[in-house]
Amino acid sequence: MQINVNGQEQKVEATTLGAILAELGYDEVDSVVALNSEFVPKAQWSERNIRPNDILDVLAPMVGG
Amino acid sequence: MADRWTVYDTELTSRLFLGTARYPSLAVLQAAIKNSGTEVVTTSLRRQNPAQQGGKSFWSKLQQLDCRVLPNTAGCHTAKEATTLAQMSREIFQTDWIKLEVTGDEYNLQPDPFELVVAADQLSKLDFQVFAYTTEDLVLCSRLRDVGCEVIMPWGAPIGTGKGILNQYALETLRNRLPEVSLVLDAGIGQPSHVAQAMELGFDGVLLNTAIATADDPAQMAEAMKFATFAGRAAYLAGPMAESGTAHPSTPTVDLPFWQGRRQK
Repeated sequence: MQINVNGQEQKVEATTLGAILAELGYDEVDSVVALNSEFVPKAQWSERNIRPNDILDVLAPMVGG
Repeated sequence: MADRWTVYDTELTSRLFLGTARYPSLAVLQAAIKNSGTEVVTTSLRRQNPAQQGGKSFWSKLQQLDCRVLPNTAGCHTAKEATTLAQMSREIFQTDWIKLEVTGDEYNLQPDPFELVVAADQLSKLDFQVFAYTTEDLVLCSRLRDVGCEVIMPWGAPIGTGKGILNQYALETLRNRLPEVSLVLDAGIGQPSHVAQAMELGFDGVLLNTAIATADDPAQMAEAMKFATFAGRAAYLAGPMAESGTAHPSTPTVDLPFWQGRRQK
């Protein structure tokens, strides 16, 4: 299915959030995720189903002021 | 000078918070953090690129330092965005602290006062400990206090300008009218003298980034900012003299020689 990840259209095979992140090569330890602009705690990743055209933001720690 | 203060439930010794952006390298950032004596550094969250591993090296190096992390919500324009980003920050940085930034104007990065109060209220109800970045408006800062902000961080000038304190009267008013709030001057600082000025006004601390990160020698500037924080705080505690409109000789005038022969001109 087609989803949007960090502003890019992506085709993925997996259907759960955790599996999709692994499929796309994201470092799960240092990542946090919002699904359609809602925070999804890491504890829910393995069970959260993703639907076509969902929007994921996968963020990591960065410098900041 | 042992001068501890409490920020929410945490006791700190340093009154200088440091931003971590715009440094020429991670090594220089680490040197600046060390020289500044800070105990609190700010961070952010940004989109991760799996090929580049995002800020992995930054985060692993930061974790090696003995500092508390204050994540920010920089770049958010609504209370909804800021609340989501704060929740994400809490999970990865493992802290209830959040530096709340909600931008209302892109030109001078001025906080949106209306969204800011909504966001602060929502986050306080979610048990966050909010450090609200705001303009120096008294009524706005009072509202932020009313919704649970124990730390309020008014700007001295717009972020990254280095202009120093543009409205000293308003900052003095905040100090006088909100004595129970920890006030941290955030943004606009360019020189150590600006830091000292804020501390002399009775501010509890200062947060700065660009003034150190873009100095020719950030590590040395970090040390200068540390001394300025000490100097300003010590002066505030010492109780400065009252200003006078006329001159008063500091040398005693009693038994002054040649007095008799002097004529008034």
